[in-house]
Amino acid sequence: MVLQYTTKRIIYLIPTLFILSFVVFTLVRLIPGDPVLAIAGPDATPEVLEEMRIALGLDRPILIQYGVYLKGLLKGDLGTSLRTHQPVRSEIWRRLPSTVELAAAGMMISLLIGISLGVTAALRPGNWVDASTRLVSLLGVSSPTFWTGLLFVLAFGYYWRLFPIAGSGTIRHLVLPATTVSLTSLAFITRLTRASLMEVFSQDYIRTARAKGLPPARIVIHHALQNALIAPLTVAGLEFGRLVTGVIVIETIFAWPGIGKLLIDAIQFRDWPVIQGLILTFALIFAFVNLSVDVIYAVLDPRIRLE
Amino acid sequence: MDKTWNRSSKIPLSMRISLVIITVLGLVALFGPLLPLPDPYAQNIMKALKLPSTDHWLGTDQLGRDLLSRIVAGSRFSLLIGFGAVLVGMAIGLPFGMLAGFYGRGLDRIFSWVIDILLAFPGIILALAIVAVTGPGIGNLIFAVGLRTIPVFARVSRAETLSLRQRDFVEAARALGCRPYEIMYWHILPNIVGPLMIVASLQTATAILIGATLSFLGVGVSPEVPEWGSMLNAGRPYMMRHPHLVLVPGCTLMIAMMALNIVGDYLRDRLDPRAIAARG
Repeated sequence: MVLQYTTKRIIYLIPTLFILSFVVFTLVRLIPGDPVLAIAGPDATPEVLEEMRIALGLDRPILIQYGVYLKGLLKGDLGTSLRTHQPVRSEIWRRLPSTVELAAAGMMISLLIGISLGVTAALRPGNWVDASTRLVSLLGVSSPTFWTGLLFVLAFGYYWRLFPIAGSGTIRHLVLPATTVSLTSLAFITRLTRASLMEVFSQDYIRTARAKGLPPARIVIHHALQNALIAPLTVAGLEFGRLVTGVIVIETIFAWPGIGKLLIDAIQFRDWPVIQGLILTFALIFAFVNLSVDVIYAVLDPRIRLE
Repeated sequence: MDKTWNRSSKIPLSMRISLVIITVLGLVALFGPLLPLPDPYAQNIMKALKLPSTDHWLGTDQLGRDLLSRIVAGSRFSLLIGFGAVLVGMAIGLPFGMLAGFYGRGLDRIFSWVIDILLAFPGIILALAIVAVTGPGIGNLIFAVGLRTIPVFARVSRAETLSLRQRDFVEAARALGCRPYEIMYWHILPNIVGPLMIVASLQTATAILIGATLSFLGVGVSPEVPEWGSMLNAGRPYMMRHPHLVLVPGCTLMIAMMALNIVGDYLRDRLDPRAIAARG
């Protein structure tokens, strides 16, 4: 059942990705400035430029160009970077693990702490834990990632030199960037867990469980959480978009060698093969994260599978 | 209506403070140039990187420009990006969403598919892609951020129209011979303004945030423009010795975000009964 659902979703995904690749391809062609001029430099003669244009296939109609690009794409070839003259695929591939490490660490922190805080707040609504959770989540939602990142750099990297503020490689390097990345999602997941758990608490089957005299811990863990966690888990998929935003910003602040920093550099250098490849990569990751969240959702909640 | 006003004494303190902050920001953005402040673009290297003083209430930046003037001038850019982007999103998303919700079937299917594709990009990636194509600049930034809000408005107006389409008053209007566009404009639109306003207030906050993020990354507005995000970016190299360069724009941005979020959440809780139930 779940397998069938997954296959259906993947089949729906394919045309979307094709359209996406076409839109990105045409969009990137609209970038002002002659790419050939950018590669050859300002001293090149018109003949050299023309030769390069033919060599790169830029003289052909855009649909043919797209066909050629698509053919390469299916073979995993994303073109060559204008800046480093390396294949785009290896540029992305080399930096992808760092980004995944950062994003995964951030997501783990926000899920673990967010759910625990949300449960604590929901158990005793109105007490100081609940009140401070509200304040912290408001702060988390309202402060831009780059601002929290800068504050962390200032506080922990400068005043109390606890953690390194640039580079990657060790767990200590990961602490500040991952914490910063997790903050916005953490705030949101805390609020959602609290709301969702409160709603479940008011339902009849929880009252039945209480009336049966089950210990409160058992009610929360076995009865309430199982239903209440569906909402935060689905949102975790949507939160991934926010997380990606955070990752791009945080990589820039903490000099983290991932694909987010690569994208910003590529935009500033107008390195269009890299921009194009990265946007597709981000969209692909995003699509698959959403897909896996939906599948988890279907496993957790049998009602969805039956539809 | 009367009942709502009578209950005004119950408006929470946080909401009142937020409304005051937003009003002040709006006024400052509108009438900022009339305030007796130094020119936000006037450089004075002799006075660079000064701490707050009686001459410069919030200090000066690395080029000796008055930070308070720049914050005031920046409010105009930030609010312009926020409201501009929401207007772009609403102007395009609302009619498409209403048409899809009203006519349904094929139109709705194509429409929902386009929305899915737009939503296949994480928000900032779409904005970055647009800015990469158009280059920096305030108009480009508004367009890039606005594009991201189109699917949000489209989805809300589609869902609301869909639920109103079969209601008796719409049927009645149809029976009276109203044309489809008259029904949509006179009968459905007034009924979906409420939900749209909630979305708009929350989206304004998000749009300001994304605009500031892009400027912070150096791909939004041009660097000399005193937008809050670009001020943070410009102050970054100096922040270790002169933290006020980032503290001033950062705190301003955060306070503005908080106020907009509190108002948005309040409106949502107030107008959406399900949210109140969930809040407990």
